[in-house]
Amino acid sequence: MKRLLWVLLFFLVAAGLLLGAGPKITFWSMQQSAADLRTRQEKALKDFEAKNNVQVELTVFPYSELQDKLLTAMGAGQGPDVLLIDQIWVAQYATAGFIQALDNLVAGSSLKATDFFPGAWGAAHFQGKQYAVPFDVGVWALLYYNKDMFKAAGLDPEKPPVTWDDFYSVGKKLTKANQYGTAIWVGTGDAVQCVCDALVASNGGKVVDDSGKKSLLNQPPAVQAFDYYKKLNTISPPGTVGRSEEDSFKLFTAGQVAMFLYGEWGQDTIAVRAPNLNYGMGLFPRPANGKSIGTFGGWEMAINSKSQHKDAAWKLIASLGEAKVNQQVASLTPANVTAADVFLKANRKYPDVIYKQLTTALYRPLVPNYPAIAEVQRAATQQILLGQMATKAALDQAVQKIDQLLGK
Amino acid sequence: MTHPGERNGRASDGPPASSATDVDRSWMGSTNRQKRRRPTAARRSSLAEENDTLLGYIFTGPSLVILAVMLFIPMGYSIALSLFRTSMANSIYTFVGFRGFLDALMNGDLWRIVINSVAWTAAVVAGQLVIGMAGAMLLADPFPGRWLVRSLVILPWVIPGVVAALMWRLIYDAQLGLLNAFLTKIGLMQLAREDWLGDPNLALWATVLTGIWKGFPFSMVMCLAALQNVPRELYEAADMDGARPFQKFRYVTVPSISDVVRTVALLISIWTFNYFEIIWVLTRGGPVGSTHIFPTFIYQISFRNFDYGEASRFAVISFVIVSGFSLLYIRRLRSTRQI
Repeated sequence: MKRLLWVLLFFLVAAGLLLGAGPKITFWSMQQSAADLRTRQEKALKDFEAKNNVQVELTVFPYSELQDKLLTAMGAGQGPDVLLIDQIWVAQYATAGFIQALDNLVAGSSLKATDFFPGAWGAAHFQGKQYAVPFDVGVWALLYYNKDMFKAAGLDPEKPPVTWDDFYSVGKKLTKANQYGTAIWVGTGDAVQCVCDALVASNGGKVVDDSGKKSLLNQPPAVQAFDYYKKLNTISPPGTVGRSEEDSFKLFTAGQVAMFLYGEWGQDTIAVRAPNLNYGMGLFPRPANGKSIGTFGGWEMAINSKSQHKDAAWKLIASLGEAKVNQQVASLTPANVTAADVFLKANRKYPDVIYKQLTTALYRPLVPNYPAIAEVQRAATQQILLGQMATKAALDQAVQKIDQLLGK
Repeated sequence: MTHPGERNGRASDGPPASSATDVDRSWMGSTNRQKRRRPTAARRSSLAEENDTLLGYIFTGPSLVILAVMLFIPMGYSIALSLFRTSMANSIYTFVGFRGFLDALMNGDLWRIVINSVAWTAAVVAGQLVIGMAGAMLLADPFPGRWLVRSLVILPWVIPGVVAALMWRLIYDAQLGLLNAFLTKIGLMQLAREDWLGDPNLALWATVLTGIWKGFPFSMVMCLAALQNVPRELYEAADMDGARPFQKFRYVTVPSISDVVRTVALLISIWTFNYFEIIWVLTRGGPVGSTHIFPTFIYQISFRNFDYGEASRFAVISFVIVSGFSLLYIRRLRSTRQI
């Protein structure tokens, strides 16, 4: 009798396992600080599991660890089925053969380019093929300004500067004893490249040409952009080269600096650190005859080319890209434009300014060894700001090094 | 008072003491063996010896395997990799032999990193030793609350390197930093720098200061322990001879603790040469590469730029340099054990 019960139990469990569980896929994502994000993401995944009979195992890593973990795992032919990668890694992962082209899958689905911000959709491509689907986005470098400081200096607090010249002259007016117009930085992260690339793009230039084989950093638009960045150093507190973007933003929230160029997520920081700060926002300043073009940051979803469950993996990606789901799971601004609109209106001040900046923003160079190239660009920026070399000479030298890297 | 010459002189007088004990030991050993052999047949004893050898291999086997897997194979792989030109872009490894090393030698990066590494190591080690020794002398004599000071002073050494480095980032901050505020307050405004970590001429020395602060308690504790082993009678004898405080330091303290100090110096040289967190967190090797040392540069090109071939070349060069220090250290260990 007892034995019969055991056998019955065994069959019940086995049947349950067979019926209940479809394929199990793994999903590696980036750890974000937002408290309720994890619960929202888990809920969205539960819904997805119920609907598609697929099990999803979500693992999150802090930013600094994610890339090391991914590269180690992918290099060994393992890693998750679905991976979330920084935009600037797409080209590298695609050339290494870690992630697979998605063109056919995208064509056969309801996802389309117009659902997403063009810059985020574009950054998912490499050499004419699509390798990823945008997950969430952020844009450098919106203009934050302190309205109280504007009023105190006799400036109209509802009229932020629009052009490069405006920004500089307003900044100069706001610079006096222990107070500065803006705070620029070089630091150690990729943020400085985001701002400088935006300056270059707004001025009609490019960091790397479309073929991805030649740097255009020493062309006139780029040289002017870097000259302008150097000029901003005169209305910025000392310590530019060693300072990071967080250090600099601290100066803005502390009221030492009147204007600051940063991403829209800075609003969260202000809400925590200086909830009473009376600030306004405007588009990234543009040259008198140029266009305000920001730099994209953000995350893309891709499928491991070694995955055993590509169909299930694609189902997950397609689901996470849908407006309703994307809005729930994105940690920055959702990459889906419909979701982004709802998100910005609900969570951000000046949603229209942010939305406009997002629609025109461009991505950083889509080349496999971007990290090495960014490092060369940073060194050149430091040389320029320190006055070690003239702008053109420093950029000539950088172009020589970057071209060598691009040819590798 | 011991002079090196004295020791040599004594050694040349007759057979050295150590060789005498060797003879002793071998004589004892042989009698033991004879005693053991006597009751057993020769064949069985050789079998037992074979068993012993086998047992030896069995016991050392696991650790040899672990060493091979964790250490020798990766090391060999890394050395092999240093002969290739690698590219993350196409995952193709091209064999270049020693040309890669030649390129690295001709390229400015290597020499700058060697110079930075040597300057960083020498300055940090010297600073830690001097401050550690001075601190140890202060803490060697009793005073009220000494136990508290002794335990507090060790703090920099026990807090995690990353935390220490982040703290020093705040201290060096040009606008909000403690260092500039302090210098201004004590009237040394002209010393307050705009950008401690952003000026290529200053950044390395700023990281050195942090490095000294982080590690000096170790050499202090070691020196303190050594100081406490110096026989009181030596000082009393020096007092009888009318030695002044500096003379006591020069002729009693220094020779008595010099063995410990030399060992400590070697150890912290190896640690400091390989120290990563402080520089990475403070400057990431910048500005304009002025603070890159071997570990930070290798990390940069391997785990940021994914140029594993070049990273392996630098790792091999770094390995050769550290091996030099290590050999010195091992020789020291041996010689001190013989004394």
